[in-house]
Amino acid sequence: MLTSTIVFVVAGLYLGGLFLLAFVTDRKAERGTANFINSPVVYTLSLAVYCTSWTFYGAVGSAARNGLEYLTIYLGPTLVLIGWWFLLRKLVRISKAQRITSIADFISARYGKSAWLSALVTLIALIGVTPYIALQLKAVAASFDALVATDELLPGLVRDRSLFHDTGLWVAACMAVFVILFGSRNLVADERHPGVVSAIAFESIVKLFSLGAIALFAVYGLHDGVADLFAQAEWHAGVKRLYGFADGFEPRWIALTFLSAAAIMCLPRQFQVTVLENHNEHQLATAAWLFPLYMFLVSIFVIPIAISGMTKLPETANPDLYVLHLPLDAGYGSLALLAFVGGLSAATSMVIVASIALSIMISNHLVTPVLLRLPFFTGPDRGDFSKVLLVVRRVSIVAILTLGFSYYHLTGTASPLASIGLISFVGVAQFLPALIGGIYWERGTKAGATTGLLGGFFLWVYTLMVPSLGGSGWAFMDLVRDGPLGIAFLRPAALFGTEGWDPIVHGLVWSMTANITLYALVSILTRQSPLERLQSAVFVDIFHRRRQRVEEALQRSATTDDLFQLSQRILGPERARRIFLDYGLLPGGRTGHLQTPGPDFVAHVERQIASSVGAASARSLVARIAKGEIISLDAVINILDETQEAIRYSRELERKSKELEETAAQLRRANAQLTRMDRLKDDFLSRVSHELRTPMTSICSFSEILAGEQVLDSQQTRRFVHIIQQESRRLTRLLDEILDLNRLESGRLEWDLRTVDAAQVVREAMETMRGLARNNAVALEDRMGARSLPVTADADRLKQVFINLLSNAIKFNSTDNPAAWVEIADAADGGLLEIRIRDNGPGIAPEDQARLFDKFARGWNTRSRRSDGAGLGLAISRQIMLNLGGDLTLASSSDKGSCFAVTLRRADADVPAVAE
Amino acid sequence: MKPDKRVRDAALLLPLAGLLLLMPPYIRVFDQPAFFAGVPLLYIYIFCLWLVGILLSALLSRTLKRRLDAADMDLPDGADRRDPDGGPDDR
Repeated sequence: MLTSTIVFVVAGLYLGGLFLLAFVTDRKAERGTANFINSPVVYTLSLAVYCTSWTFYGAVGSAARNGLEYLTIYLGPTLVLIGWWFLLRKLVRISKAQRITSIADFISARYGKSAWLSALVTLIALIGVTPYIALQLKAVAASFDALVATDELLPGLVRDRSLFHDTGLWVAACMAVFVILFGSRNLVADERHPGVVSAIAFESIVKLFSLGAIALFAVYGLHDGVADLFAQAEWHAGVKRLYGFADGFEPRWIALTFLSAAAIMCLPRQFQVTVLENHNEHQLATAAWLFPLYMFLVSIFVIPIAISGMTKLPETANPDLYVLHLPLDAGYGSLALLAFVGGLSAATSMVIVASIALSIMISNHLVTPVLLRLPFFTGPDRGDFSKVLLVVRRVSIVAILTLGFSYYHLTGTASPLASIGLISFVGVAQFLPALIGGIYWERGTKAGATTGLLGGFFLWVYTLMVPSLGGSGWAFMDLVRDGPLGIAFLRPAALFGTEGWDPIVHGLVWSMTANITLYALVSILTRQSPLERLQSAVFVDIFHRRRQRVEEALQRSATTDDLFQLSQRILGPERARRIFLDYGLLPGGRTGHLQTPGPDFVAHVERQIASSVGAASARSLVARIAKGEIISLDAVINILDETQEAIRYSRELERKSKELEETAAQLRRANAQLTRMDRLKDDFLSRVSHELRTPMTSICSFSEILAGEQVLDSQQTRRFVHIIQQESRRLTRLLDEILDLNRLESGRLEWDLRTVDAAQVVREAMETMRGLARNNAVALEDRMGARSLPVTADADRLKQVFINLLSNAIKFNSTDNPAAWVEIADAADGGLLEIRIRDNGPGIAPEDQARLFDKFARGWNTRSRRSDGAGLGLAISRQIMLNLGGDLTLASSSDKGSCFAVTLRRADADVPAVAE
Repeated sequence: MKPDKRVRDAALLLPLAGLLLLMPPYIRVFDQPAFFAGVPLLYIYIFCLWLVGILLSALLSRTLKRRLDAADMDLPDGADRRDPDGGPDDR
């Protein structure tokens, strides 16, 4: 009922639509209006290129054959996506910084930009992925045949056919045109292809929708809902098998989860869409849950289709084509057509991205390094390479698709879909140790990566490809049966006597063992070249920006003209010009002597060239024109160590600067104190001069009068002489005081220390002051009681202190009913006694209190009624008390009066007072 | 760019926990001939676990995305924002 014409027309329209979509997107992108391409949803949908026709048809087949095992293919990537912050983000960041063009480029750039390594990775990818492309072509051809030949539901639908009747050929040709048009249109700054991304995102919607429609049809069209669907197990053993695990499922379950997790990073096409087509890291954040959700839906859709296929279709039906046969068998031709379109979209999206990724790898890592050694490109005429590169890309695309098609056309129906896919997975999983080790383990060396890859690849070929070829009767039959040279112990399918293992588990275990062991062991045993060392630091520490500067260790310089010519040849004139203009370097002056660009610009140009031809080629190209290329090992290692050191240093520095700050604060404090003391000294000197000057002036003037010619009467003369005498005494007193203070302060005073009764000393002082008190009408009171207070002191000096305090209390008391009294307060310390001299005077202003005991302070001067003291009294008193081992303090002061406290150590206490 | 270490740890633990719960022996626990609302128990377990993982990933990614914004803002001067302890930041 579906003629091949209808199918052809639908397929043609669908593919035409794809072309149109890609074309429109590219046009929009050129005008800068294709913003939707940067949306995280489109990015996520483009990741779904992971779900190929192997998923679309094969997952159902796998579920029907092996039960739940098919889930592992989607669980592995789910885990990787969920952990995006640690792995994918790092891959993306590095690739952007290094302008990586493919997974081969990534690995090669990490291990010292090795051309050999990138070629090796490319070869492995090519050998691993070509069967996978063939698988897609086969799926399309098989589905086409199934659709148009409804009368024969036979397995192995690929029948006798001539080349031009093979649907696969037309699909391959169509894809080649598509990829050439949109995948290698021109060489842009980065390996991003908006047209292609939009097309595969669209295809991802189509295949999900299509699979979902078939699943719904299976649940509600063929069964009465979910419960009815699952109830089929009651009578069908195959369905029952689907609900649980078979015995010994574990090795395959673990191995396949690991493989699929590896594949989501290592498959060239996944690396292309996940890492290279990524626009920003925000896209990853969304894909982290949206892509797992996509795979979740796909996995759910598979179940009803598999169950229905097993229960509703004849036993002979090919499980890989249940998706098509279910609607066909039930007579829903249009639904079958939808399924076909879904399968077509799954297949074509994979073919498109895989051939883009592979063509980039082939042209950059296999062809370009050879071409750039040809005289035509190294010679003086130096042809424009950018156009050649484009041609190489396109030829590569055709070559890949031809290879894929030939593989499919020649091998035909060797194995079911899933096993080809899995063998492919194991092949690309060989990149995993070098990839993961490369971004987390700085010590991984080029030699380690190369031997690991070679070992893993060899064992992959030996344990998986050889038995596969041998099993289908193509080659190596003897080898597979008897082992090499008849050594059964080394038979490819049972290496080291591991009989009875599942082939995939067997191949994976041995190839990965060899790979990881060699990588680690050889890395430990070999040394990195300077460039490797540098690149490893840049890759591993991509998030630590300080270490990114090590690239400047390559102290290269080149003339602007040389660099410009090189860029022009590789990148084309327009891009080259833009790069140089961005850096403010105007190229092309035959005459002009432009400044020599520094290492950073050389590195920048190299990265730009790398974005077109890969890191290894870019490096060798720049090396030809740059001077100072040979860098010493020491230079690089020094720089790397320096950056390590720099972190330590900065911490050390931080500590030191904190210490310095503290010291500076201390110094500031000391300086402030010194300044204050200096000012006090000046103050003191000026005050002393002032105090000396007043009596001196009067002495001088009166003596001048006396010495004058004017005759004075005797009474006058006596008065004048009396004044001179008085002033001289005052002067002497002042000088005595100053000398006293000086001796006190320097501790040169002689002390007559003996045990005296302090109360008695106070009483004597009060007696001395009675006259003054009476003159000032101040009530002087003794409130000490009859206690005796034995202290060790110089009685005269102590008396001097009390007299000073009492005279202050009397002289400066300006209240209406002035009073002063002495009392004893018991000090907290039993060994001390405290005598308080109090008054009810106006108190001492708070601002003066601090300087009260300074020399010439006279804090209350402004308010005093008289000022015949020099202001040294309190300073001297305090010094005396300190020298006696006691203290003199202002206990309190307010407008209700002041209280001075004299503290002394009791002589009957344990510790006797000792004068200095 | 002082990362909230808890979010980072959670982002690391989530895939590891998922891996553990999907591997034998845990997955074997639910391999029973039992049905829940007509659906085999094993399916319920795997798909619920999957869905929970997706949900948690979405929640975590929202937080992590904000950190991407914060990280982008202090990009230009190339200053090293590495922890003073030299701890592995964002590895």
